[in-house]
Amino acid sequence: MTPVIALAGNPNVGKSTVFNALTGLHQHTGNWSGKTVGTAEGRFRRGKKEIRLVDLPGAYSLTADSAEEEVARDFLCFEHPDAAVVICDACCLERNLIFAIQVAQIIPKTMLCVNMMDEARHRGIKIDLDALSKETGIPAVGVSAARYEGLDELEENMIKLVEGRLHTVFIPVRYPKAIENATESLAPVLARKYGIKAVFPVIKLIESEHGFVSAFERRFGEIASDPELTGAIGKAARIMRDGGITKKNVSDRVAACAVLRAEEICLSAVDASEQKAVRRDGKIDSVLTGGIWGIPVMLLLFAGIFWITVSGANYPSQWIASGFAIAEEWLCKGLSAINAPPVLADIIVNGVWRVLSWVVSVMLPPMAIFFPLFTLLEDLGYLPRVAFNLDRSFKAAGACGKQALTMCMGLGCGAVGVTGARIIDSPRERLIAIITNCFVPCNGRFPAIIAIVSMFLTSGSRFSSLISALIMTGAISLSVLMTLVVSRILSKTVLKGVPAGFTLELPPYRIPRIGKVILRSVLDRTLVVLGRAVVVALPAGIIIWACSNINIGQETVLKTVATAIDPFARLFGMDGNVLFGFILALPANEIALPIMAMGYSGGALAEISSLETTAALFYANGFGTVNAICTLVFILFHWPCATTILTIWKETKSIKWTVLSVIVPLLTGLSLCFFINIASKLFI
Amino acid sequence: MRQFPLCDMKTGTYARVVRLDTKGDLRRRFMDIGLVEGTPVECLRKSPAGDPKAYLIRGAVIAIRKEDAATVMVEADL
Repeated sequence: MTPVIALAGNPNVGKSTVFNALTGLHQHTGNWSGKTVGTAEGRFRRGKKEIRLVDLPGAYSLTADSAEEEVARDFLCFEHPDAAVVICDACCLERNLIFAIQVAQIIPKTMLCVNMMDEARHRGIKIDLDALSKETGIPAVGVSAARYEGLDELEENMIKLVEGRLHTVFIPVRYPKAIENATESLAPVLARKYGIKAVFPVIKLIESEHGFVSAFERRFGEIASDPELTGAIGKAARIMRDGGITKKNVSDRVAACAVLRAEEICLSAVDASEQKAVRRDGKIDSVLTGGIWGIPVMLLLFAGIFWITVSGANYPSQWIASGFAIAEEWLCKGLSAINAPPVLADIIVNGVWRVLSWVVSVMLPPMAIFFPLFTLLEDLGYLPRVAFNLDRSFKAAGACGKQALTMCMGLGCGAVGVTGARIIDSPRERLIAIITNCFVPCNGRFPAIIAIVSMFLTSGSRFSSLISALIMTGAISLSVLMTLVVSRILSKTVLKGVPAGFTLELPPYRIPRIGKVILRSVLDRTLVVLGRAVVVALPAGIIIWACSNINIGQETVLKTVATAIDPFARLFGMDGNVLFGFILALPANEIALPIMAMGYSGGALAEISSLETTAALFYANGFGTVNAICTLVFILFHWPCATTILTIWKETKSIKWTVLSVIVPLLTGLSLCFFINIASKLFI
Repeated sequence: MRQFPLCDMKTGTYARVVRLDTKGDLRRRFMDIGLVEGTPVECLRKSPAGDPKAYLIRGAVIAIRKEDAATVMVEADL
């Protein structure tokens, strides 16, 4: 059996960075709490020895307030990993130790890995690892994972740790006498019958803490069915009560003991007397989150990113498109050389190839520019500041400020945003975040918006990319606004309730590692988009080709359906062809625009890979500015793609909320489009 | 020494926690981040809308909404 080591720690301490550095895997990392949801697994080898590493989601404690903390707690308490490494942020060691102490109470072979030593040094925080190890009784290794410093020693020590060649005698936390006596009376029963030897679960059972008890019962059956255990828990609770500690205040007392212990350890291991970074961050924050500049700077930053994206994506798009056009000629020659049947050649060239070429040339360049820029902001630590700036509005909407973070995740991929909503503790607010998540345009819709904007709203203008960037900023602001409006409506109707309390951590600003950011975003995000494009282009191309070439009576399927839904679609400022494009693009939003283009061209798709010709094609079919605006709004608000819908179902386990997640954005989009359409008829 | 709720701290001032009246999950969360009796706190800044405020708690910068911070009593020399 390969030994298992759990990587645990507070959120945003660089667990994923350490994990990636050790295993060579590529978990996406970023400078904010809650980046990793769910566990990731990997292995590393050193000589002949192999270790299985489990990267747990970040947790502030093992009392499990949120879904992701539950994952971490259950793994540590019940899966019996051979050892645990608690990653700590050197700049915030004291707070991190509170959690480390809890882990060390469960896993006998626990080691501390103090990460970001370089940054601590830089900030004038001195950490004495020997003193830390001596005070805690467990080994401590210092690393700077982002620079790959100290990893060799860490690996070496991890091997020694599982083999029992390191001194690990955790110096126990001293609890009030009554608690100590109570745990001593219950511990033997748990150890003998359930293999649980740690203090932490024992205390949780005495306290009958609801979350822990249900996790325990899921594994071992009902506590009530074991008279010996029930008796022992009752006896322990009595011992405690006789000592003056009730079930109500035991968790406070236990938590306070750990906090004080952490403080004590840091007194001898950390010297932060010359720390200067909080002041430096303060200066940056007084601009980025200040009363006057906070919001304008935020809008400017986003407008700037959009401007770079729009103006930078133009040329590569054209190059890729002409590359595809040349390759298409070869493809045609090749197909005729092997005497492929004309129908097959038609499907491949006019269906699959053209969709692929459109998706890649139009979608890829903006993504390849936008994501590295966004990742830079993320690495810098700016995203939690966005949440900080906007929190007052989210509170007014009855939602959680962390929803701003899940929206940022949704900007990448709706499914990720939905899963990411686990960082929100309150189930009510988490549902709000899930239902409104698809209001922010994901990977698949974002470039489509850019395409619509540059084809119909800004083309020909001298400052077209600047205006495009402003329209994009407006579109995102509309997303945020509608998210707030709909969140408020939800929290006044189906998800009634008052905002629950939460804490939002604002991490220190970190200078992004630019080369690494670019490399990672190109590899992780852009290639994923490309891969997805190739995967969806194949079936989509075939379906589109079939729809536009198979006839019902006199007309093609596409034309028949488009004509049938045309009157309905016109109410909302679109037409049947556009709406049918949205419907067919349910599996992946990337293909919505190419389907529409194919519909207009009547199946025999001519050169749709350049934006100008596509625009001309749309105009030729009576598509005007109002149509463009309504289509743009409908791209922002219609329904989540199939993958996201499936993820919503998995996360909520409820048909009701899943259906609502489809209906709410659809109604939002339809009402907005209807309003825009009517207004345009009245005033223009 | 004067006692007052955490949310009333002025930007740039220091105080020490004397009592937590917080209930439920948030109480546990406060304990997790080390906000217990005796913890020193510095109020760093407020968000553009004035709420939430950011506090320096055991080396970490934590934003807390007004009504949540109102449940934490602190004391300071004035």
